[in-house]
Amino acid sequence: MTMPQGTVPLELSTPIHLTATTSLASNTTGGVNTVALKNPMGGAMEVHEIKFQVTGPLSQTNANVFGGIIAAKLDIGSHPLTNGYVPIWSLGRSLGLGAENLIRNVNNAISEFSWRLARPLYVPADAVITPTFQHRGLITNSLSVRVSYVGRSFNRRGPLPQKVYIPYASAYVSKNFSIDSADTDESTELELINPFDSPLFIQRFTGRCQFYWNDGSANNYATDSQMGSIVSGGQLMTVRMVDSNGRPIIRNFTVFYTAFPQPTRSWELDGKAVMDPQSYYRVFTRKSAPTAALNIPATTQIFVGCVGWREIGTGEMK
Amino acid sequence: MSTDQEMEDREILDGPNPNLFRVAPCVLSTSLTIASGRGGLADSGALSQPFRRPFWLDEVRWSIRVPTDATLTTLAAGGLISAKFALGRMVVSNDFVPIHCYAPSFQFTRSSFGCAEECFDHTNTVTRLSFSHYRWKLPKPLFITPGQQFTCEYERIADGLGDAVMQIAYAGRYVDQKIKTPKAIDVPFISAWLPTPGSTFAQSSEKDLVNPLPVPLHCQRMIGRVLRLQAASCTTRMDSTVATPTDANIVIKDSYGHNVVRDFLNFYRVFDYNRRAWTFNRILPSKERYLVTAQNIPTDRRLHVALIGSRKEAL
Repeated sequence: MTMPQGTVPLELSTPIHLTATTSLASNTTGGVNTVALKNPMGGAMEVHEIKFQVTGPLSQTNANVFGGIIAAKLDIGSHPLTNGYVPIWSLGRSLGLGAENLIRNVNNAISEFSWRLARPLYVPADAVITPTFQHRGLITNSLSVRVSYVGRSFNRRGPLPQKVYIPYASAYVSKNFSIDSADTDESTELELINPFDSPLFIQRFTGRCQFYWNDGSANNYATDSQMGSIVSGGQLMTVRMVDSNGRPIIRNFTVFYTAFPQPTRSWELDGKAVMDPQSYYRVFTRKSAPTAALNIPATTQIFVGCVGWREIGTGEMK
Repeated sequence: MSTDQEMEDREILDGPNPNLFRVAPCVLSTSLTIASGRGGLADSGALSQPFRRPFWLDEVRWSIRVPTDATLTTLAAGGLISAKFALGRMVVSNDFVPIHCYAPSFQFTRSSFGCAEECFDHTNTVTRLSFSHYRWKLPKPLFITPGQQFTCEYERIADGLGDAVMQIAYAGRYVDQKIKTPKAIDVPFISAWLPTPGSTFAQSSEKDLVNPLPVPLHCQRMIGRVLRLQAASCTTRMDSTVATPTDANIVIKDSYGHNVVRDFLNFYRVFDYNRRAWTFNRILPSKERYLVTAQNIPTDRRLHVALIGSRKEAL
C-alpha cells in the first residue's frame, strides 16, 4: 500500500483511542480534560478520525438529534481546525442515520457523529487537539458530550514527516425559518471561508436541515428534518452557491437534498477540487411555503459545511 | 515578460498537483415534470457547464416527488422512471434503464422513518407526497469537453399516479483551460435486463447485460432491484423484498456457460439486500454478456438487473 506523503511507516505505530467528556448547560461553552486526549505514551501520533457522541433527553416520542445543537471548535497549537464553532453534524458525512437517532433507557437519546479525516493529522509529541464545545441553546436541557480521537501512536520518535495535513472545517447556519412561511437568507463572507494563504483541498460539503419543535413546553426538541414523517424541511429549501469571484458552485436554485444528497447528507469531493486562498463561498437560501399551512409551532434551519485540508511544512507545526 | 499571475500559475502547474489548478466544484440542476405513461427530455442547456470550460462529471443525482393517495404508504419512484444517457456519439445507456438501477442503495428502509434513499412519506394530511432520492457516482469521473452535453431522456411507466416532479443535478468540477485535455476518457456504460412482468419464469437475451461495444468494458457492479406493483390499483410501488426464500431465484452464467451464480439462489442473496448491489471488478470483453435465468417470480413483482461499468474512448 502506498502511504500518503508525510506519514511514518506502519511498523513503528500502534492503534490508539483517546476520549474525554463534558457536560454543557444550555447556551454555554466548555472544554474537556485535554490530558485525556494527549498521547499517554508521550510520543507523536496521528489522528485519523474524530468522533462525537451526545446524550440528552428524549422528548415525547421523537428522539432529539443533537448534531445541530452542539458545535465544536478544534485547535492544535496555533492552527485552527475549524472556523470558530462548527455544528458537529457538519463535519462528516452521515454513516448511519439510524445511529444519529438512538434511544437509550426510554428517557434518553444519543446522537453519534464522526469526522473521518481525509488525511491523517500528525500530532507532535506533547501536543494535543484542543476541543471546545458550545451548546447553541434551542433546548433547555443539559447535554453530555463525548469526544474521541482514533489514530495511531508512534512507538518511537521516528523521522518527522515532511508535510503535515491540517484539516479545516467551516460552516454556515441559516436563520430559523417558520415552517409555514416563504423566506430567504444568505451567508456572509466570514462563514464558508478559506482564510489561509494556501489552497484548501475540499473533502466534502455537508448539508443538514434541522427541524425544531418549540411549543413553549419542556417538550421542545430538535431533530434532523426528515425524521419520523415530520414535514420535510429539506424539500422546501432550495440553495445556490457562488464563490468569492462570483463563479457558480451551485448554479441554479436546487432542492437542498439534491445539492447535498439525502442519503449521506454530503457532497463528497475527496480533494479533487480546491478552494482558492483567502476566498469564501456564499450560500443563498430560499424557503418555500408548504402547499397547505401546517399550523405547527416549528421552525426549520439549514447547515452547510465545507470540510477540507491544507498542507504545511513540519517546521510550521507549533 | 511573464506577469506575476502567469508566474504564479506556472508554479502551480509545475507543482505536485497540476490537475487541481483552479478546479472548482459545481452543481448544475434542472427540473422535469413527467406524467404517468409519458416521457421527457431534461434541459441539457441548464445541465451544461456555463463558461465553455472542461468539466469533470462525478455524480448524477435525482430527487423525485410524486403525489400519493391515502392508500399508498410508501413509494419508490426510482423504479417507475427510467433514464437513457448519451454523450454526443457515445452511448452510455443501452436503453431506458430504471433510475434505481444506476446506483446501490444507501440507508434503505421501507418505513416512513424518513431517512431512506428510496421512500420518504411526507405526511402532510392535505397533500401527501413521496420523495425518492438517488445518487449515481460514476465509475470513473467523466470528462466533458467545452460545448459537449451529457444528454438524458426519461420515460415513466403508466402507474396511474399524478405528475412526478423530478429534479436532476449533475455534480462535478470545472477546470481551467490550461489543464491538458486527456487523450482518452472513461465513459460509463449501463446495460439492463427488465423482464416482462406477469411471468413466473424469465431469461435474459443476447441484448441484455451485454457489452455491445468494440472495446472491453470494465465492470464495476451489478444492481438488482425488485419493483412491486400491487394489483390494478398499485397500492404499493416500492423496491421490495421477495416474500419467501424460494421466490425469485436466479442463476447467472457468462457467455461461455461458466457459472457466475451456480445454483438457483434467492435474488437478494445474490444482490446484497442492504445495498441492492454486487460490486466486483471484471473486464467483460467486447460482445460478451451475462445470462440471467429467474424462476418463481411473484406475478406482482418486476425484476430489474443492471450491469454498470466504464470503457475507454478516444477524444
